[in-house]
Parts: sequence; C-alpha cells; structure tokens
Amino acid sequence: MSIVVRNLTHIYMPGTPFESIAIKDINWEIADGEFWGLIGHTGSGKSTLIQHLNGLLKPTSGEIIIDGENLHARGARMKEIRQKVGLVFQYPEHQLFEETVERDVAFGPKNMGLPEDEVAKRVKEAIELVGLPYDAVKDKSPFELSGGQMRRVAIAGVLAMNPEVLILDEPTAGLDPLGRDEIIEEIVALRKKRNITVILVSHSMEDIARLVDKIAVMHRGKMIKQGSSREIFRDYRGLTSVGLGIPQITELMMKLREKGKDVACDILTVEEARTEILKAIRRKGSA
Amino acid sequence: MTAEIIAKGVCYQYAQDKSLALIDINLAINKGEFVAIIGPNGSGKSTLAKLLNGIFAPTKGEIYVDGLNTANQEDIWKVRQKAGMVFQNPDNQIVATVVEEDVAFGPENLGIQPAEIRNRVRQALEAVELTEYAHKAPHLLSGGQKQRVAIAGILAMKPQCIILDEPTAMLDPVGRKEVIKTVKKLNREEGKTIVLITHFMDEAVMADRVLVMSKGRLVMEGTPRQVFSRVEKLKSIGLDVPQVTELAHQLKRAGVEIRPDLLTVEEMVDFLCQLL
Repeated sequence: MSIVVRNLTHIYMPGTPFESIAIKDINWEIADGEFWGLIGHTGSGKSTLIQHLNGLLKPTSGEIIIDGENLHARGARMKEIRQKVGLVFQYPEHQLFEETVERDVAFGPKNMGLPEDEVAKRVKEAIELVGLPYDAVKDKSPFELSGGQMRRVAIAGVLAMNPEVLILDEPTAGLDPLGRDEIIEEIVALRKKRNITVILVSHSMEDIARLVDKIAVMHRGKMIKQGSSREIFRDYRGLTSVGLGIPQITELMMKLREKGKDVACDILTVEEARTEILKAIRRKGSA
Repeated sequence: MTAEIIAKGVCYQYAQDKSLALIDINLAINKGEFVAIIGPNGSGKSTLAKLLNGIFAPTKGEIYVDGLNTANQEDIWKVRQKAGMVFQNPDNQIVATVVEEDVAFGPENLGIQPAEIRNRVRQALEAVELTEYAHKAPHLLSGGQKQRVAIAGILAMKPQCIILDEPTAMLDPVGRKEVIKTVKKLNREEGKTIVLITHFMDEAVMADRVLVMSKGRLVMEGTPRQVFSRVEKLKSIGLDVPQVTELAHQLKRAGVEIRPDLLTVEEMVDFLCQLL
C-alpha cells in the first residue's frame, strides 16, 4: 500500500489566539513495502504528521493519497482506509482495557464486524506474531504481564486488523535492552512474513540505523530531509544542528575518516564497522 | 570518605508476591560519589531506589541514610530530605501551575521561612539553568525542561543525595543530554551524591561506579571500565554495552590486539589511529 502526502499543512486551533502551525508544506512519498524511519526532536511535528496518515487528523490544507485514493475527498472510504493503516501510539500498553489478553486483541477485529471464527483466527495469529505463547497468555489479564509483554499485546491488537501499513510511534521507549531487541526482532519478522509497509518513529538512532531503509527528518514542523539511512547519517553536523545525533558507531567511523584514515564512513552497525576496520588493518599489513 | 548510604543484608518482598524482589543487598555509597545502577526490567532497580529514601522499608536488613535508619518512622522526613528522588515521568511529578511555585512545593512542606524559600528556589533554578522559565507554566516546557524542574524541586530541599529512577526514559536525545548534563554538574560542582538508575549504557559510562542488578541480586559492581569489559556476562543477563565496547569485543575475537575496556568514541579513535 502506498501513501502520498502532498503539500500537507496542519494548524492547531486556527483563528484563535492559540493558533499554531504544527506542520507545514510536507511532501512525502511512501512506496508499497518500504521501511521508513521518521526522526526529529520532541515538538518537531512527527506525531501530528503520522496522525494524518490514517485520518485521525484532517489537513488544514494539502492532501493524503492512499493507494491512489484521496483520504479527504467526498465519498472516500475512510473507515476501510483506517483499518489498512494501523497506528501504534507511544506507550500503547496504556490503552489496554479488557479483562483478558484474547479479548483485548479481539476488540479491533470485532469492531470491524468480522465473523467470530475469523476474529478468533486473527487474534491467535496476531498474538503469535508478536512472539507471545497464545495458550499461555490468552486468558491472563493483560495487567499481569511485564511491561514489554503488555506492549506486545497492544501491538497485537493493531496487527489483528491486518493492516497493510504499520506506523509505530516510539515502540521501544522505556524498555530494557532485551525488551527493546524483542520488539525489534518482531518488527523485522513481521515485515518478512507479511511484507507490509512500516513507518518507525524513534529517538534511538541505533535502532533506526539497523532497521530502516529510508529516513525522513522533521524539524520545526517541516520535513527538512529525506533519503537512504546511509545518506542521512552521513550528515553528522546537519543532524546535530537540529538536535539529533547519529549512532555511536557511525560517529566513530566519521572521526577516523576526519583523521585521514582510509575507511568508509557510511557505516550503520557494529558488524559493518568490524568488517571495515579488519579490512583496513589487512591493507596496512600488506602495504 | 564516609558512606552516605549503607545497605546491610537488605531483602524486600512485595505483599502480593511470593518471591523476593530484593535478595541480600549489601552496598555502601560514598559522599559525593556518582553511582549508576543498571539491570533488566524486573531486576529490582526501582525497588532498591524506593528503599533508599524510605518509600519502602526493608522486609529484612537495614538501610542507613547519613546514619539514619530508613525503617525508623520518626526519621522518615529527615531521610527523604537528605535523599531526594526524581522519577521517570516528568508529568507525574509536577504539582503547580507555575515553575517557581512547583520548585517551592518541597521547601514549603518542610516549613521553611518564605524569604529562605525564595532564595532556594532561585538557586535551584539557576543550578538547572531554568531561571528564565521561573514564571512559565510547566506544561508548556519540553520533556527535558520538565525533568529539570523536577530536579530543581528536589534541590530546593537541599538534599545531600539525589536518586534518579530512569529520568531520561521518556525524553528525546536533546532532553536526555540536558538532564544528564545537569546531573553531572550537580555531582561535580555541588558535590551531590548521585544514584542514577538507567537503561542507557552511555549514561552509566559517566558514573564513578556501576552496580549491576539481576533477578533481585547485586551481581556485579566496579568502575564502568571493569563492568563494561565483561560483554558476554552483561549480555547473558539481558543488558547492552556501548557500541564502541561491542566493537572492541568483536575486534578482539577477530584476533586484533585491543583493550577490551574501551568505552568512548574518543578512546577508540585514539586506539585505531595508532593501528591504522
């Protein structure tokens, strides 16, 4: 499923003394199956932007076109589109409310009016997809689970609607390294299994670097940059000037390069850095 | 150096749980020391923090803050005044509608004279570099600023020790930097004892000493260098190491002669520059 954002502007409380421009003139094209990272510091407009992608907010001007269909045109099938674009909010576990895990995950598909056996099938699939043992957790209260598990139940609730686009707002915030890795592995597995389009909003440059293909950078309500992860993280100074950073490992390689060492500096993971440094050592050895 | 906080054989059990949340914790934190506590979720870090300033009393064993037993109800306010606590979510800690009133809340409750309160609020806001926000509404501040207001509120009570329970977990990179810079400054310039609980290894690297918790026990302690060089052990209990340390570890395994305890980008750059 593709999404096109064209000249999107959103103004909160227009015409009042509290009027403020949250996002301005955003243009963004997300092709089917792509994996995007959306970065920017707090208040840069990321959340406002993603809430437009499934119609939670209405543009002040501009348009959102999903699979060729204008979301706000007269007669647009808003309800169906909303089901196709799943949005997982920050701290989604705060939105759990049912008595059992199974019922909580079933809430979305039930409201879609699906037959009972289809709901049951999807709930089981979704719970397993987020790496939880279905039989062991289905009758538990979601509130008995650990923080990481609760978050996965909340994500399962969105997955049970079978979205074609999944937007995750800070899915690993507040989790320990193990919980972080579990969620990340599930996102990777999910993309393999269902080949869905994913937009990941995160403050963790390390996570962004090892996961996404493309990055969009927001600053003061504008989208100031778009490109492949390697292109974006190459611009260390640009990113720090808007309050963002680059992964520690990328910084290391850039600094080596600045010192005149012959290494590639568009490195995104520890493994890539190791390979690159070992190559450089060998070159030096044979020189 | 004298110890500011002492824990002796401390166990803690939550009323509804069968198992112990903390098992036989022994530690001494010195005056002016900067200690980081790391550990996976559910390892007992936050429980320990809540025991250190008397929010909970130990089920077994004793905790002393500056010589006062935290289990002694008569001293509880003195304990909390000596060891102030900052929590994860800034929005849950702000009580007033104006920044300076929020900072004044603590000292007001201690029954301090108004003139002195003004003094303390001014100093506290200066220390966290928010003087120009004194008359602003806290909800209009960024996450990092709110968390600094919370720290100022603690400072105004003139504690010797500040315990911070994942103060940056909900912040963006800028907010994280602001808060950590403030914490470091309070330690270095004002001599405050700091106990920082965190999931971010790059924050723990800045401490004088790192304590590692797993399943309710204190399983490792040492300088950041000592602790983070044990990459395999840390990973086995579900923790990370900084990317640079991970790289050093992997290079060593590939046969490169390298110190396993490199912690920062600068150290690694220096090392590799000699090699390449």
